[in-house]
Amino acid sequence: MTEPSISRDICLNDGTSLKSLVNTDTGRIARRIFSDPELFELEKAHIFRKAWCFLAHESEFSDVGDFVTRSLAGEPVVLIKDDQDQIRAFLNSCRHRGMRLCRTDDGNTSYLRCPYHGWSYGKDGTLVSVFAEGFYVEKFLKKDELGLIPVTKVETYKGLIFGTWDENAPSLSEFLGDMKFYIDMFVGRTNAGAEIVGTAQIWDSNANWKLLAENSCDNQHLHTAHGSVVQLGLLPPDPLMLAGGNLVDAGGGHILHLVPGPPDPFFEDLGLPFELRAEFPANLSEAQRSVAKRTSFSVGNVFPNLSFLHVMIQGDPETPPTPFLNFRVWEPLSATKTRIRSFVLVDRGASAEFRKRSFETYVRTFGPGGIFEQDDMENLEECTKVNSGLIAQRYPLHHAMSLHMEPVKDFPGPGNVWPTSFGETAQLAFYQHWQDCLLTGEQLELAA
Amino acid sequence: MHQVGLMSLENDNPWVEVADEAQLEDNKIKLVRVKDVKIGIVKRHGRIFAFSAMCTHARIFLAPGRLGADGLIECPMHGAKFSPEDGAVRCAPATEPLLVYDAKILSGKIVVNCEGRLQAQSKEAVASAWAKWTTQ
Repeated sequence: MTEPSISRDICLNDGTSLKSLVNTDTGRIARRIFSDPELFELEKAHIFRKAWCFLAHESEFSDVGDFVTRSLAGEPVVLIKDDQDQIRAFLNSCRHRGMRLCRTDDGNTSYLRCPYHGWSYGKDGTLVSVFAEGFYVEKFLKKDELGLIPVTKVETYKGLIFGTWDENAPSLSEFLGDMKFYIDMFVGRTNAGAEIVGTAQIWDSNANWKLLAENSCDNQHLHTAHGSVVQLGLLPPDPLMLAGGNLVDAGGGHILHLVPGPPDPFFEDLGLPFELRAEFPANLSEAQRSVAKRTSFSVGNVFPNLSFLHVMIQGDPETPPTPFLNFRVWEPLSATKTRIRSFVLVDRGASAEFRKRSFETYVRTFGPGGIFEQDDMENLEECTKVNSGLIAQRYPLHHAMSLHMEPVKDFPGPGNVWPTSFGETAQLAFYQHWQDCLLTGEQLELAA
Repeated sequence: MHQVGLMSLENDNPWVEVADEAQLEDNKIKLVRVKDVKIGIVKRHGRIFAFSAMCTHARIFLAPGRLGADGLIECPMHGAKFSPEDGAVRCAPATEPLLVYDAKILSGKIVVNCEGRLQAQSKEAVASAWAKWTTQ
């Protein structure tokens, strides 16, 4: 709907047209895209092995030897700070038998050691030691050719480290495109930037990754799915009070919503403490400040699988509304199972008191123990399960809310921007891009 | 690998030149070879230390590069740690200390005195290990 559509089409194994799965003119999405293994393989080939995917944040690496283990297109990856203070990313696999070298989530190490036969690699990926080296001759053990396999491209934007397996990928900056305007509002607004607080929370959900991603631009489920939170008084009582704001299609499948709070300066500028807002002019453009000023909370998804929540809410009925920034990566394990890796970020310049309150607000509302997360996971797991039924799949899903609306002309930020946060137009842009990636990828495969 | 210079084990002088001082960075192990035996040298707090470059645990060659933040030599394979000063074991799984050699700076060169104590780093070492284990 918002990007030029691909003219060609391909057939799935059962003869179904790929283009028939997403209809942005009528707002219909085929249910099978949330459980079909054939489509999942196409997604891995043409989305996850090609896109820039979020891997880590620079603040996770303070000292030489600090490492984290992550996943890129379903393959294990280790990132480690080498002796030259450079953050390197490698396939987390020994060149000998393929064993996963590093099996903890994070830590500090001097060498990456294989637990199987002991082959050991330096922090720069070079093969240092081989067990019983005297039993090889040099021509059959060329150590300089047996270093760890690097992630093809690694680039950083405002502290966010992304990687891709595609040597022909555009630059990260080009890939993020107009979404950078909005990302800056979250991680580039203060002088010292943002940092991760604590460590990642990780859990698995029996939900398709796209449902998790699209829920990150869904402002209309709050009063139903999170009804208990409304009853606690943590959300406004009138279901339509949150319909204001905007939906944004920033291009490239990147989407978000921007929602204002009550008419009170306390809720402007994402509800941040005023001393942090004072740093905005030095770091954000006038247009970015204008968008931030009208925004109390914002949730979105950087295509394909990095969602962010900037939510201002009470962590409990006794504490004032407090904003937190949460990044979450949806790592698909199969068509119907997703590993979730969730991080809390805070501006480095924030006070200790705000940092603590912001983190506590997150853990009470989101993450595995959060009241909102319970509601979301229950709904998205059930959607995945029911949508896998063959009878159910005869009938497409409905994504037509606010489909009649035209994008606004005078919004200060880039992208296609709709005049409400109650709508499904941004989600349709995500699905259109998803479909285009599969169609374009298949075209390249055939041409090759 | 530094070539042995004018002073060598071939004459009566036990001191062997193994590197130029300028080649050594503080706290960074350099591997050199004396009579086909790998030894490690490192400069720390202005002093030079030399040690057998083979871990006493699994006889893995120690690696060049920085000492750990704790100032110790660490085996890249199983993580045994040794003091560069006296070769003492500081972390399992090794139980035997590293053989260490006298070392000093002489006219800008690093010289090492191995005094015939070069450790066998080959099949003889395996035979010796079996003998030691079976007589325990």
